[in-house]
Amino acid sequence: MRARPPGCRRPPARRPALAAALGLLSAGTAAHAQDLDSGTATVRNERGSAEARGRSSGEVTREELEERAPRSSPDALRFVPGVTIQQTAHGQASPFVRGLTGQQVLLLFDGVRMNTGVYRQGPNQYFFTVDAQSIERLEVVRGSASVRWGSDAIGGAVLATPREPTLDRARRGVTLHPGARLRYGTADAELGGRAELDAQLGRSVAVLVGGAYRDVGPLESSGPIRALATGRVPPVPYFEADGRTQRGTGFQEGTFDARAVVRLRHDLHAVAAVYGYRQYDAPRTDLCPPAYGSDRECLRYEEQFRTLAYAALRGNAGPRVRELDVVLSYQRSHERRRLDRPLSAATNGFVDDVDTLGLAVRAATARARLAGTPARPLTLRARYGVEAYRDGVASASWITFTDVGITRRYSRGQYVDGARMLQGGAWLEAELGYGPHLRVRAGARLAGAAASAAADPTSATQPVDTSALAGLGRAGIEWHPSAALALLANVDQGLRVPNLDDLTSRQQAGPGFQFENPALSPERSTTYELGARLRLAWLEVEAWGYAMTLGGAITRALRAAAECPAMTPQCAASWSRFQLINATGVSVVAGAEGSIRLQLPWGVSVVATAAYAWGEGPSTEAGVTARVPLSRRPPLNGTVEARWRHTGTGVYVGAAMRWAADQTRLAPSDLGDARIPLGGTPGYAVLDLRVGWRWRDHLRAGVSLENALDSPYRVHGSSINGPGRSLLFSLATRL
Amino acid sequence: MNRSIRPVHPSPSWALAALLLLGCETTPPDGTPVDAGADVPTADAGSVPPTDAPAVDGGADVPTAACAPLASDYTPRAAMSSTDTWAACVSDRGEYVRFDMSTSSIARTTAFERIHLDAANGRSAGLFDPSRDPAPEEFTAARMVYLEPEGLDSRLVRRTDEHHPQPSPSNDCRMAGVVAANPDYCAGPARLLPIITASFRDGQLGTTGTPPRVLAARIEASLLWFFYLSVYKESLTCATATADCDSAWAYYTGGVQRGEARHAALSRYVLALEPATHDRIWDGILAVRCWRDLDRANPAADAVLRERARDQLDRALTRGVAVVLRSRLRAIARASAAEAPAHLAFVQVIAPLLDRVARARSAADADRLGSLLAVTDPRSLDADGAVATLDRLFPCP
Repeated sequence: MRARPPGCRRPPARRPALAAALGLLSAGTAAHAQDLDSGTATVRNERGSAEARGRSSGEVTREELEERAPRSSPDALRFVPGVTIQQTAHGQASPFVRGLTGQQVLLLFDGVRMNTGVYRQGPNQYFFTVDAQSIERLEVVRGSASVRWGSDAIGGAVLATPREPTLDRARRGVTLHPGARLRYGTADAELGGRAELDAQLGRSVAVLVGGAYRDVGPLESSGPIRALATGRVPPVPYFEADGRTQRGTGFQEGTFDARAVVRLRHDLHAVAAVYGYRQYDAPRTDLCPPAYGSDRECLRYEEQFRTLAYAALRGNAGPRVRELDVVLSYQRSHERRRLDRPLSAATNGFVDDVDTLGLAVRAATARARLAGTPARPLTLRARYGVEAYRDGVASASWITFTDVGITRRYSRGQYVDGARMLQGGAWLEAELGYGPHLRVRAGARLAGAAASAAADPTSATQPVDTSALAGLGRAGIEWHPSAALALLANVDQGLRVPNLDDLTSRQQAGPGFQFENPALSPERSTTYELGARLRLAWLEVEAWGYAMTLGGAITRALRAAAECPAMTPQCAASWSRFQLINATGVSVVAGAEGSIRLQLPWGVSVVATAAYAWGEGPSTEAGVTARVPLSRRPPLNGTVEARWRHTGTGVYVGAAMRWAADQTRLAPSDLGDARIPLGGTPGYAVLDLRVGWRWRDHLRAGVSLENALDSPYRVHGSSINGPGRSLLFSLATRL
Repeated sequence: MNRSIRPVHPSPSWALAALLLLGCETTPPDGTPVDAGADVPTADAGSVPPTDAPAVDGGADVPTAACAPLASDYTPRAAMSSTDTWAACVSDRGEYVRFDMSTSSIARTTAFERIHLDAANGRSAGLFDPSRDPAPEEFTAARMVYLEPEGLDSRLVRRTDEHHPQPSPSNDCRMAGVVAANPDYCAGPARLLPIITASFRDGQLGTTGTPPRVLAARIEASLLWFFYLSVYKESLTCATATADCDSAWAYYTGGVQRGEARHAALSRYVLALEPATHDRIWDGILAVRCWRDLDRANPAADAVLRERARDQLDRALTRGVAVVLRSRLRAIARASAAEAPAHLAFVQVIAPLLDRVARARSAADADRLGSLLAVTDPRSLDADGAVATLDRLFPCP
């Protein structure tokens, strides 16, 4: 729950963690300051929000967003340990958290669930629909977290916090802060900009409105990579004659946002906001052209739209109801795809719309002192909430014969038209504190879901009428043996109820044709993690080790052609066929992630991260008892980022390296995935250089030299290779 | 004169010329006006009732009993291969043993049969029935089948003819430039696709003047050509992907054993016309499977054995196509005035497929065949001469 009032910006001059560390050093054992809102003792040596307190988490601040100039919101997460960003297309990207992605990672925007009932197995493009320019902070909570956030938080949760309008109690009248940003990149001729207005109307109303547009051209890489097994160039992506430019890249994008905040009391606000994303003509790189089809064939997302509107009441609603957050939301996701087959004078069209209504209520109690002394109080604080989201799906598909202008509609789309899903739950978490050294946390959730879809005899689609009810829990302990050191242990359960994609979809996925299974049950995970944090003035170290068990994992099972649903010829005609099933055994993901942050003299800082996730599960092949690797697990990977900053002039210089080892542990379904080269994806090391200048809050100019060594590279599981050596310019002004 | 058998490209001018010669520019032979919106097919009075057998004259009249396998051939039907020079292998029992229980190619032969039967509309004879003119909506329905994802079109647009040398530096027939420069090797996109696309288009429009059954015959012939190429191509790539041997088997048979019913695609035609040739093709299919059983390296290492098997298969398969061709030539003479152009269209599409082999065997006969078939009016065709030439060129499977 966010307690930070709108417009409360972080000090720009110092990194928050560094500030906290410096504060720790100076305060010694008095590091546990008073929480001004609650008036109770709170451990303050935390990066990140209260959402992630006591958890393994990573954060990207606005300042980091501005200096790194990411190409998208997923791209902004590349430096968070334990997170890798897979890209099936230039205009799509999917964060992997602890080796999981798609339906198994929950995305939240300002506390509103982004995951809809049609989030699919494997990578998806939906986090790309969050405009990074509208974001104040990104946070990743690693590991299962369904007690707090509900279904889908198996591998973790990604929390996007939008920027707030400036609301200054001392101001009267109308205050306007217009701003503009421009951006140009040479790798893909990206040219875009944003205009915004930050306005305060009187003492209690503030509005931030903005709109952005960018045109992104074909992406030039450093050339193809080579398959580990054969040394040959993989069939995906398709390179133009220059050997560097990747076909099936480029897109246009427009965004808009408006956020109004009304201060009702000093600690209670009403918020009304709308965020829109409009993407046009974004080809899916691995299918534009397909690995084994005509080079003129192309699947493109003609329209990828998302609109989120919500109204919220946030703040403290009295001494007993703290951090209240009541959000009524509406989200519409619209996807229109077109498969062009010019040689055959045909196009296939698809449209899938999802309308989601949501209501979430969360709150916390004040911290109550149960016993103990003022120096070592025994305190208790509870957080609780309920939420419900309802999805309605409209889906259709058709074929157009372009040479005769005839269009015929198929009986069903990717999903069953009119399918419905309702999910939600109630949860309670309690935090018991003993002085400044110990926190014990526990929680439970009762989750429920129901889905329904009509039968379609023409396509032999079975009806769906299913429901599930589950209870889950979590527990954690955080011990501070000293002011600088914290040791943490958590056990968290995760849950994912099968959604409408699992239950109704038929689609040509990367590894083959996937068809529905209306009889799926929820998959459940339990994450066990141990962590340690050391925070000194000049050094921060954080390390986590974890193991996650996944029971009844919803996974792809190879199917014979004879098992295809009737009236679905493309199923039997595909090289591989899959059906989602609940695995009969337990899958395991184990790994570690860590980071080191060094604050050196003369304004130099160095941050290094590393992460590894190992996963295996039962084979879904009949008669095979050997366990197999889980699909698309990222290899050992990490980052090193160094920065020098001159506080007097605002000049900063940085260098960053992202690296990954070879990934040769492939799941059976990976072997037929054209996105994964034969034998696996080769490792890489990519160096970026940055320089920039910031003049207070009014002007910022930056230049990044991406991939300075021009190294061909691809993130495991992606369709596209990363940008080649190129420049990225950014300019921002604010009056 | 070196007049080779050229593919028929049904350009509007060609179609117009043919129709002018046939005297049926605007109405079908039965006098029923072509109606783009009609969904009831017309039938010729007195034509053969539709069956699930190919539209042929009931079998070859050239005995193949005198034909004998080559000494290098694999002959599983003769004492379970004990009399040939091949080592014992998985095919000796005479059944095709699959590498993989799911063979996606079967679905594409099934699609062909669905177009042929039009079972979705309750008809026992669909688009390829030469006794009637399909309605525009039938072309639309058939084209939907043809264009199904991962269906016939998905493979035809990249199908190579591995009888021709692989072009260098790129043999990737996905690329338009490679296709344009190597139309013989990239036969699917260069030779077949234009015929199929134009025929579907004209059939859907129903206003181009070409009789719909002629358009349908072109589609039928092109797809059979595709199956022929596919069997040979898959038998080659089986060297690196064993499941492609299954595809070679499936593209010929539709995924059934020799003695089973429900043969599909090319095997349905050959089996109905000349069982002996069908058996020899079957032997060739098993020879390829036997090679891959004896040579289990990946990629396969024994290129000599591979080519023995593939040569055997291709020889028989070529005869099989010749049998289909000659049956259509025979049918022309007996067909009604409305039906004959459909048979001729079929012949003129598929005949170029045999030109390469024909020319290798006898350039003179290849030229003669080309000349004989280069007619626009089926009544002027010397069918007997063409059949005799075919039989000289392709006497044995």
